[in-house]
Amino acid sequence: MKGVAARYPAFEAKAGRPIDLEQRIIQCRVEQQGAPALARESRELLALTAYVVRQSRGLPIEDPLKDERVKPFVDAGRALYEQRQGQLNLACAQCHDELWDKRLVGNLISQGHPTGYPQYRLEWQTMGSLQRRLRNCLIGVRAKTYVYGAPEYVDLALYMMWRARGLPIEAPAVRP
Amino acid sequence: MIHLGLSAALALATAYGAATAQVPLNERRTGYELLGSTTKAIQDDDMSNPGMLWVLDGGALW
Repeated sequence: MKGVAARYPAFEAKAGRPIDLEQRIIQCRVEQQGAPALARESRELLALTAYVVRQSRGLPIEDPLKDERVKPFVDAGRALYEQRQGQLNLACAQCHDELWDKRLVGNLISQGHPTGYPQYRLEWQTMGSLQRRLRNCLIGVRAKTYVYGAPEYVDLALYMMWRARGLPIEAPAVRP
Repeated sequence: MIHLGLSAALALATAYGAATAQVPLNERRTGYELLGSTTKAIQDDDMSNPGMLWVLDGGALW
């Protein structure tokens, strides 16, 4: 599975759209193994994802736009990323593109690169996916969250992978 | 803490202009580079990195 995590989310012909690595694992279990689907953020799914992603540690994130079928979804992700939302009326881009060297509530603002997921957060006292982290940010700006697995999260992830193209995978990351 | 966060975020929302500048490719940094040396060391050492427990579980499931 070496290198696989560096190119997900990826276009899935049957779905007619990109799916993330977690969805790929769920799909393999259901369709190839005849096993029950694993729930998002379940220990089993995080474990299998971590096992697969770990094999890509150190490898550069591939440019998703090498597959032109994902272009509209990268664009949709970018639109979401740059759209002000929530009661605080903030876009992802305002903090993570423009203020990443500043502090918010004492913490350094990151550039928001998805290099380390699933990751162990001391704040969570457990492992979590990129979707969980995105959900945290949405709650932080008092915006509407999506259900786990929603296409909006996948589009966002895809755009973030494009932003981070070339940066090394470092999962499982440890963060405060 | 919450009040501080809110007012900081609101100040930030007010100050924000229309155009969004992306981070230049050569100025990109992962979250790892913002970590203190202790957390970096925990992540780098497979025996200390708590995420490796999930990786091991994942290997067993695999």
